Amino acid sequence: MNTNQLFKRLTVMLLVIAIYPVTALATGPRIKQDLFTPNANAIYALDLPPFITTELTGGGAAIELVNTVLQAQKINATINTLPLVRMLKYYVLQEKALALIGSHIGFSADEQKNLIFVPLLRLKQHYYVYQPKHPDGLPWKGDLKTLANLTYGADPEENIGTYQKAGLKVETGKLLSLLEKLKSGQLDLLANSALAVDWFLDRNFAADKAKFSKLEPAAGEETLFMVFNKNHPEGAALAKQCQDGLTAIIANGQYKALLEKQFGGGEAVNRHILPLQ
Amino acid sequence: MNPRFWLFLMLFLAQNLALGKEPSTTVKPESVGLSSQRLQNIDRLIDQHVQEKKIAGAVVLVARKGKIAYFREAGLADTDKPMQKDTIFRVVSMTKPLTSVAIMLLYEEGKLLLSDPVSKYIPEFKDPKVLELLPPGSASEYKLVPAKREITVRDLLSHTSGLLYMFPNNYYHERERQLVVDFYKEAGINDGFCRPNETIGDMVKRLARLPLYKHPGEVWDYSLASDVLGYLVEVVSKMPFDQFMQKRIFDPLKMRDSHFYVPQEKLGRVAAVWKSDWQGSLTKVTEPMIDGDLALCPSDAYALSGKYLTGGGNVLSTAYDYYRFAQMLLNKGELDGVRLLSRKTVELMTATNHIGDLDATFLHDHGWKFGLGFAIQQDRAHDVDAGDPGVFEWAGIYSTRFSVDPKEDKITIFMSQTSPFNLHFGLWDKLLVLSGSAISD
Repeated sequence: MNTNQLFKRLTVMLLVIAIYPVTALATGPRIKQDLFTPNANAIYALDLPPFITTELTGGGAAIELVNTVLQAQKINATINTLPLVRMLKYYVLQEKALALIGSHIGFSADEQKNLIFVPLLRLKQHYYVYQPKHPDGLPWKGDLKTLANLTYGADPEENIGTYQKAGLKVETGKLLSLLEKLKSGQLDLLANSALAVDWFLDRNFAADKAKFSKLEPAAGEETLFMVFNKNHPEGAALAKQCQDGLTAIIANGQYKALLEKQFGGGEAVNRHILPLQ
Repeated sequence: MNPRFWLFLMLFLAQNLALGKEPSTTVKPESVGLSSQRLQNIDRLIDQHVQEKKIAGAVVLVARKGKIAYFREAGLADTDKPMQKDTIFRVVSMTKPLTSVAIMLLYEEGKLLLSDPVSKYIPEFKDPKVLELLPPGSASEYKLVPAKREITVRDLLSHTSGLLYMFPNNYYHERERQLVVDFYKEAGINDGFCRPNETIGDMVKRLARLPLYKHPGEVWDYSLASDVLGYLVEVVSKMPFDQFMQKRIFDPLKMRDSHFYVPQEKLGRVAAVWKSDWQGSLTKVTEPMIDGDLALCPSDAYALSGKYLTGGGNVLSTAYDYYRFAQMLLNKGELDGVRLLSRKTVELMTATNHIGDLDATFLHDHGWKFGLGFAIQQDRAHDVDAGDPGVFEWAGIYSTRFSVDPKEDKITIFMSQTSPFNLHFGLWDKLLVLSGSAISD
């Protein structure tokens, strides 16, 4: 190769290097959060294991139900599960989020005017006592007055007026801390869904589980709602769509099948399933 | 067989089996460039604090050039029980460097990157929100804004995650901090000085979904980050945190008296915690100590088992065990022929500055930066001085402290069990002055 040829080849090579877009050789950008636009349809759910929990694949029975409805209705929404009522209220009332999922949210009458409640699950409640403190259980036959002067452990957002009126003392706290207090003797009884109580007994009180006794008859019933926000641009419309979707999966048996998968069938399903209407 | 062979064999075994146990003797200080006479100043310092009933007792260890030159116990470990060199202490936050090393072991195996978002392993950390105050007169006091970026593993190691501890709320009074702490309290978050009846994963998964105090990377704030790291070890290694620590750190380093839950046969060696007003009133503590947002449960250390394993504060250890850990770091990852970490990784952990223009002012002051698990002295232009730029150290809330001076090849360890910790800064600082001024070469 003579000098001329070498010079030509070098020139061509340099030109190729100069012209070829360098970015084509680079990898893509590192993915950062700000590259994404947040979903406008944000739904916030309140921890309520095993119905709502990040511990379970699928997020728990309530979240699976909602996702089934959202899919069926082709609604694009994200569900975030949070540990505090205060955060859910913040997102719905202040950030105008699409909806929340939970029980015992404690909205004021004024706040409720802008909300649409769609029931998802029934939560049959039972009283629980700690046997070493109450070896013979409690004289509970359905009349709260028979429990007067005992100390009841309530959810912080629970309506406690009925208990106070019946003469019970009330302490509030989250279920795990109420169970701790029940065991330590600071409480005489608490009420919750059997599945929720079992969740914590299995995980946190396995050695003492048998000492926590469930009382019959049932203490009452709570409802786990999906609560839509009328202040969200599509809140009312999507509430209607979700209600329709829920009705449809109740009618076609998908709802019951999902609960059976989650709760293993039997009495547990009956305690939580919504009436067909 | 030749009796001399048996004698030799017995001596050989005795010497080698003793490795990792508390040494019966220390070397002559002069052999490692320390002055015996000057080290006696430490005797006087500690004895004076014991006599004045500022502390009940202490164990102090100074090592140089890989040898222990000063190792002394003073005062009481418990009522009518003298302090011993092998007394077991709640080292509390001195657990954090151990946890950081656990993370770096996984880092060296390629199981995680420091740049990884924590949400890659603990999904609850995805899409973090930061609490920001709204102008006075707004309908709400605050808003929750999306964090500019996610928390990374490195943020957790260097305490730049935006997470908080609750107890500093007693000392710092910004409104945002108070509001975030309120969220923590409502969610049942625990600083880890009392051991609740749940797993660390339960707590971390709640914490992950609460608002951050500041955007990740924009703040240095001492926090529950090490507790998160402990859980991260569990997730990545698929081993309970205490088992990982035992297998990967305590056993290889022969830290035979380091535990998350002390076994029955060693309970008698656990020091009592004492409350001191630093004026001569010293009382043994048996009940939980609640002071505002600080909750301490020293009696939890006597539990034989439990499920709460925090990377931020659960380990109990001895001065000698912790010396072995510190010596491994000073040796850039190796001790007695066992290599735990590579030289490069220890250099990364102890690099003077991982926090940019921020300062690690919690236990120290301006001029102190933070590495991946400890505070590191950046310069000598400030009041809190541990002897050299590059000195790295941390402490525990019941008054324990370790300090490693790579330039002078020196380790200083102080172990006491006294509360409140904030009265101890002077004593700790004086001890470092005395161990530094004993250098004679």
